Amino acid sequence: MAETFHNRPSVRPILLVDDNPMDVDLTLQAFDEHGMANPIVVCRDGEESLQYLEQHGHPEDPGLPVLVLLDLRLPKVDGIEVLRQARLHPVWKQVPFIILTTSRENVDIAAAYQLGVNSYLVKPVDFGSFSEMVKAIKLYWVLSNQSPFPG
Amino acid sequence: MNWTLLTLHVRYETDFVQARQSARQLAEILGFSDREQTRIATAVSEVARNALNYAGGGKVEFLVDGAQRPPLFLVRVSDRGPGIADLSEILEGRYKSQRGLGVGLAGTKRLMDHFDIQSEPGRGTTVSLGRRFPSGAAPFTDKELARVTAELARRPPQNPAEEVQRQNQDLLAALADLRQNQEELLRVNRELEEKTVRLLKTEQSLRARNDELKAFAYTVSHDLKAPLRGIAGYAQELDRRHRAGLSERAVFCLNQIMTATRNLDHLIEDLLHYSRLDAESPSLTEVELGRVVETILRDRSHIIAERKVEIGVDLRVRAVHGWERGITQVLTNLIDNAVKYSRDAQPPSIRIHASELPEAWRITVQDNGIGFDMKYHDRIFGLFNRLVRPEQFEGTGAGLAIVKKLVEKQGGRIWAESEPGRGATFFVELPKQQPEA
Repeated sequence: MAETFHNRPSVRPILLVDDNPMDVDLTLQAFDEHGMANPIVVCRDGEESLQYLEQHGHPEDPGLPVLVLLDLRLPKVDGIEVLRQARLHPVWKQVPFIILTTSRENVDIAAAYQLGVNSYLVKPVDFGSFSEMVKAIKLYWVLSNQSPFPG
Repeated sequence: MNWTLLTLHVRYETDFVQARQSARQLAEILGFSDREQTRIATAVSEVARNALNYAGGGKVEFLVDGAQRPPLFLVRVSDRGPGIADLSEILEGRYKSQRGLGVGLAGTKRLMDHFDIQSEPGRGTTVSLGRRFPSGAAPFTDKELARVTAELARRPPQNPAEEVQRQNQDLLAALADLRQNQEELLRVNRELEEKTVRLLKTEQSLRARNDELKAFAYTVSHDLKAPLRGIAGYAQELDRRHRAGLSERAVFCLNQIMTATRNLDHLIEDLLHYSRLDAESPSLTEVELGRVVETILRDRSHIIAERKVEIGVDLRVRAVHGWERGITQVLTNLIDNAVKYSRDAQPPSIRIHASELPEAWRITVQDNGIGFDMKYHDRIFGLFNRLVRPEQFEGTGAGLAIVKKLVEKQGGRIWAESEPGRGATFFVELPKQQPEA
């Protein structure tokens, strides 16, 4: 089942889909460093994220995230397929999706943009750089960007 | 010199059968194979039949031309008939005989190694037929002549019916040969089909290998980087948040770990870059060399100013027809190398030169850096091969390997000239005519 960190039900969550526990931990740490108010929901594989999509498909649902950070290589159902399913959903297709992955492969980048991804970021190995990237995500996508859904 | 083995006169139907028989017997005694005997006998009977039909008879001489190597078994058929009027038509196979039963003169010519015909209207016709002795046959001598004539004399005289029967057998044998040829053709056809199938399989497996390679690049980028990010991330956390609690040695170890992860990160990136080149297909456009060089130098203006590098650009080619991304990457890597290895020169100097050759464009990048020993020439273009220690000059050793691959992808070549301590010059030649992709 999806796990929620920093649970504050009044704020919409950020959905993080990543199977690697170290990556999850480091991402949470980076968000922590920049004082993120939003709870972070973690799905550990593609199937789990699709279940989450089904369970929180209503525009009023407090579990509907402001942003999805999606890894590409996931167990069971890969990130591209998750993105495809989300784009077919009347509500989820409006949610900003950011691919956050290690793959710099042109085919992946092309496939993601074909499916209308909002941004594609390659995770740097260096934690300092990664932390900067997370800060930029927070500033733009969480604080500046207007979500299509209230709350 | 010519030895005469036998002379026959052809006046009646039975005589030309006799000529055929003698041809076969002599061929056999001279060591020709069964099939060769039939070939020679058929040719001789064809020509002898002509002499009988058109000139009312003639003379058949069997000879050996010993001057040839290997010797030639020669049969000369001459008559005193009216001669042949339309010789060239007959020889080219255009003439259709009303009476001819056999392969005709054109066919006869194909059966033999040597064929010569002398004919004039009203002055008779002489046809010479020759077949080379089987390979390995001894030179023909008087002794050999004695053996052949003695052997021929020993043969019991055969009646014409036997020879006709023999001819029938020959025809049957020819038919069997034909069938065998057909079977052979079918077999070759089958083999060809099998080979095609095998080729398709090879192609399939090559495709699979290619996909594997792509999957490998993916694995390297994703699966190797994930744990590396873990190592780097936690080492950096220790460094940032828990440094106060660490001993001096522990801080040293931590720094070593962080350096190693950075190096590994660069290696993986370069490996990926290198392996991805295979999948890239060059797209050809007009590439303005001046603009490419200017952009590269502008991006490096800071380090160039800082190290007071003297740059000389002499481009005698305005634009080349080529792969812009490839050419840019090649020049970038070569210029970066030149900047890197001329670090300690006083002052560093880099010359970029381009010229046009008849078949190619040549671009050279010359520096006055540390240079290298030419015995390592080929090594410097190998992946991750370095001639310097990492503490002297940073880098993974992928740069020149990438350059070489890019140049070869464009059908070009790259080489270098250098001496330790005296700088290095890298030469790139790109063909004007790109190979088919």
